[in-house]
Amino acid sequence: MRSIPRAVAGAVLLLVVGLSAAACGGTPAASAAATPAGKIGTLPAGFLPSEVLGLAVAPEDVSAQIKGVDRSYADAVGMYSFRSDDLLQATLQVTKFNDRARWRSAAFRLQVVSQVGGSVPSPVKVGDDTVYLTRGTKQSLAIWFRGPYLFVLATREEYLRPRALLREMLKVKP
Amino acid sequence: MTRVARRARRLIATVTVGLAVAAGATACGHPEQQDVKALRDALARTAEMPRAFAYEETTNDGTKTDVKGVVEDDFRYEAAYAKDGAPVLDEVVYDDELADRFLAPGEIASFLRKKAAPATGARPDGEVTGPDLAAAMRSGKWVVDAAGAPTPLSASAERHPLGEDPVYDARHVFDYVDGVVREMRVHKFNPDSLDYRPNEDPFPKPGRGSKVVRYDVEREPVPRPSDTSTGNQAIPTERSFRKMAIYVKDGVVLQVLEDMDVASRLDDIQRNYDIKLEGSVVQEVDQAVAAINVVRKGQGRLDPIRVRRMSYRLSDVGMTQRVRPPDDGVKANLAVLINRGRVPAAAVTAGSA
Repeated sequence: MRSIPRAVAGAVLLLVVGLSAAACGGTPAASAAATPAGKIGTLPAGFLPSEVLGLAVAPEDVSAQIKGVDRSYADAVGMYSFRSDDLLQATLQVTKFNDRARWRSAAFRLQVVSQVGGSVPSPVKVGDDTVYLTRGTKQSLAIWFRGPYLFVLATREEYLRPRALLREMLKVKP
Repeated sequence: MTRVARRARRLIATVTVGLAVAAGATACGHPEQQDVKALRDALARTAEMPRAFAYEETTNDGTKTDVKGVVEDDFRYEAAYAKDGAPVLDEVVYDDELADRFLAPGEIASFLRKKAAPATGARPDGEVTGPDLAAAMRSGKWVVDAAGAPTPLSASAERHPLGEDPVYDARHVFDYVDGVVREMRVHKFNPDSLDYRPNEDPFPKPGRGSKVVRYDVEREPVPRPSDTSTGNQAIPTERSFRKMAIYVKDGVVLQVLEDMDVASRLDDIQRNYDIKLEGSVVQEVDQAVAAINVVRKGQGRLDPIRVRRMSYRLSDVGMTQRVRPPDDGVKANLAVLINRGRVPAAAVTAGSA
């Protein structure tokens, strides 16, 4: 595992904390449904190829970032980098919701999506999937759901093949 | 039963049903709101589906535009644009790649950006630029931008005046219609309605037993100059001219028809604004719209009213479509073209994944 870039770490923290805000809402019942602090695990990298579109894929160590997160509906997180040479072109964050999250609910999903990025995410159809597009700082963000998993693909603004990479990532099944 | 009696019974039945519907509306929400919701749902549903389309537009001067194409999904489509029957532009978007082939060199200028798009950093190797790019576009061969696919999202920071880019117009019909539906009153077509005027209806009726539902956008009257709350002189907008019908079957849009009918409002314009128009109907329409557009521009509404008849017909909706990029082409940065090419994020408000 590589040491995680600062920008990547920021993204992980944002999303896991965000999920806690969206899902729990501060009520006692919601708190009971949340994954306790220190119990969020990390996902393995086995479901991703080691190379995609010429980019080297590697898992990133986010254990320090998720260690202190409390009251989240995420029970596992994986963060993967995509590099050409040493340049980080994209990251993929995969978040697995715990059993008590209402991940089948469209409203819940929209609430989660609305917390990502700097503009209102817009849905587009890519193959059979609905993907929400938005922007972060100097990056494009694509968000989609696969069963209890949430995917967030962040690509550097200058990267020339973000849609091809997204289409490849849509084939991924954890 | 006499004919008069039959008509009286039909009128009573219509009024009775109307009252019943009105009573129901009190309890369950206004029927028009339900119509709008059903229509917007159909628009959103259809926009997500693979499809073939045929977009046709005829303007007041008789210019005919055709854009035919297929949509595999929001990242893959192909379109062929023809003007007055002559091919102008073929376009294929395949994920990040944009390929354009100009078949009418004289039309290229209308697609060029007036201001160069800001640079975006790294570019693929081997691209032609400058005169070589111009020559490639005039050659009738494919010009391919490996990273130039236009954003699938509306970018509100950019203006897209109707008619400037027919391929863009054809690609964004659903957004256009949704905007109209949100802005204007909509109801289901009902030939028995007391408000229905067959002589003002240019659109075909749904066939009996076809299960096709037609939604009509209600045209508004021409305002009087004093009908204003902003201090500006009230002038007619598209709402005073637009006739639009959307045909839906089983929750899927089949066709959209629009008639920006200024001709039938010429008398109202002359009376309300105390002006005299002269010449043929086409000339009078031109004069009226030119005058309205001048005032609009002065009031800050930059997009002019476009007098046109438009048809957007869908086929093979929901059936698998396969878009293929051209096998070869000249590599170039097509950000020289409007609505195309990779532009920096700051230039748009929504993302382009």
